[in-house]
Amino acid sequence: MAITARKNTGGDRAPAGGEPSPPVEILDARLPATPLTDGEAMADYQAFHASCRRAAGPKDAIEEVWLQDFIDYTWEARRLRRMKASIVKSERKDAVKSLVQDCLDDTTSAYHEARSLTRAWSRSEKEGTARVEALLEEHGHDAGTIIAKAIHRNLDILERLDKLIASYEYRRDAALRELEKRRDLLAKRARRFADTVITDAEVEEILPAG
Amino acid sequence: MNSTLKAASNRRNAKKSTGPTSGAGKATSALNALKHGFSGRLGCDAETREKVDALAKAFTGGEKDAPQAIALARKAAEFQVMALRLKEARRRAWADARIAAPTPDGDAAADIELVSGRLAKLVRYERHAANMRDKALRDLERARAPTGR
Repeated sequence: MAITARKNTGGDRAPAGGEPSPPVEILDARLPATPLTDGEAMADYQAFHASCRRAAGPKDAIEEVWLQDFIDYTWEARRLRRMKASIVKSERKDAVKSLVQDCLDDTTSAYHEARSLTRAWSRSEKEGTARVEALLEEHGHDAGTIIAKAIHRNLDILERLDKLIASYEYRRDAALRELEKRRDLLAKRARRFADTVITDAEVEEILPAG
Repeated sequence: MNSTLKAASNRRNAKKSTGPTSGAGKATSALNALKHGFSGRLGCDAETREKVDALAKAFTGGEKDAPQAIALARKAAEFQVMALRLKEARRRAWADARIAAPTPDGDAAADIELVSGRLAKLVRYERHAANMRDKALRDLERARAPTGR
């Protein structure tokens, strides 16, 4: 997937000399940095991208870089969170089968019965679901136990995704911090400059030249 | 362990490899970090230079800056180009993995495992490139401060 570039011209101040800003990759990438996965839509990404741009209103190339980082890492972290949830969800069936098998006698027929009951449960068949729920409750298990079992079976990958999410969210926050710090710095500088201008004007008023 | 055994053990361990010893070997291993292109310096090819030049110009806003500021803008541009390469590698990691809707046979989990392994390796370099770029940009702003920009 290619990342399209566009000239950084949208409302930014023109550089001295009137030269247009050179086209630079990813100063404003309207396409996501990575291919969309299941559950993601281009319209959603572009709406998210547009609302971030509107909220931040980047003034120049430097702010564009940080804004793009913010958008990119927010999107990636969100994707990984969704994938974590989908892993747990997809593992629930196996978790239920394992729990049901534990609840039944330790025989070969128990294995087949567990499989059949789990299939009925996953299809939300009334009788099968009721039987599974009764069996689990009888042995002190509930919905929380199923989730816990699903998580436990995938601890390594879930932990790795958690670390990645933490990294991406750190980078997202770092980009936002840089943007805010720079704007604070520019505002302070503007304030100092304005104060100097006002002070000079007062002095000129009191002590006119000549 | 008595001192004779310990000495023998030390002598055995000292014979094990401790890295390249010849000039050629050392020169080769010095380039190891550049194999994937994500650490060390950027390449000097024309395309990379053009990208760096364009970005540095964008960072200075095309204005005439002091040499120090130009150097900082260039440094920031180099690390941004590195960050873009890493982003491209991240894109390839996702493209290579078949990320489909979760299926009962666990294919999706295997794909996620594959892509997350690659992403985990990249994130360290991404962090470094972004940190160096941001530091250069902060220094650039400070260097411009006396002119009130």
